[in-house]
Amino acid sequence: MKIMDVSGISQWHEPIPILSQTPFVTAVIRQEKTVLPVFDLAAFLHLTVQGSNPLCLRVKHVLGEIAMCIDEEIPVLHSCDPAALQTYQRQDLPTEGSYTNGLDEVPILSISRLGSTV
Amino acid sequence: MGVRESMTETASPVSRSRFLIVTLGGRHLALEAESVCGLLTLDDCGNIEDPTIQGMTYRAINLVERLDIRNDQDGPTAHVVLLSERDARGSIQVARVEGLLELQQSQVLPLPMQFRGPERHWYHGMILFAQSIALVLNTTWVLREHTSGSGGQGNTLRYATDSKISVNNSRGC
Repeated sequence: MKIMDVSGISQWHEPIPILSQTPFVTAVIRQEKTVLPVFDLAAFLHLTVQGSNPLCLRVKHVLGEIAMCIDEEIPVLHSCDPAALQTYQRQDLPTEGSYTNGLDEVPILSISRLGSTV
Repeated sequence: MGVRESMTETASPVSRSRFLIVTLGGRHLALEAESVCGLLTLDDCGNIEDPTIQGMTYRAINLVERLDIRNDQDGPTAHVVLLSERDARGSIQVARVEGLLELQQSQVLPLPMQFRGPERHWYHGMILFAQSIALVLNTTWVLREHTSGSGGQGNTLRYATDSKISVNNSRGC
């Protein structure tokens, strides 16, 4: 995702489950006096969070900040020439395109379009 | 049991709301105090599922099932909370009663907008409580769904007692 969508990264703490019928939004986390909804990105991507000390990625969302649990591996900041961005061919993710890293095509997750999923 | 103990904050009387904080399945839940008619211990209730107080029957509502949470409501600190709103009445069994909390209305946080399903009708918001949160249950939902539900909530034995603890003496339930 684009760095301007990211508002912070911190240690992940156990979320507070909330019975909900909104897909992938079934918990909140409390950080001091702030309560953030948790978007279950791993479930959305059909993946499993790796590591025993996962991280909390806070991202800006049109409806308000949301939290996501991500792998314990520190995210890497990757600079990319806008001209190198390409259309992400697969339709399985809301993206703002993709870039090529070696042999890998890396999708750029669209937080705003994720909003239509949330 | 004194439910007015220690948790009441003092501040200006502007737009304040009171909540009974209970714990069920490890979750904190907040009940709007004006909907709470009283508390019963399990001893008060005996084995009766639907307590009847002063001729009013408070049919048991299974919150464990409704909220899909762990059932820990039979421990030594368990209580039955009597609820009413307009003509609807019901009772819920909780694992523990934490006490009454008085807050400014602004301290009740809205459910984040990302929750977009019917749960928006289930909860009236959230309260910061004990390093966690307490979800404010919508009493109307709790009671209405119960009323319009299957009705298969167990036996219809009746039990009368005057041992309920009034949480709100200013109104009849």
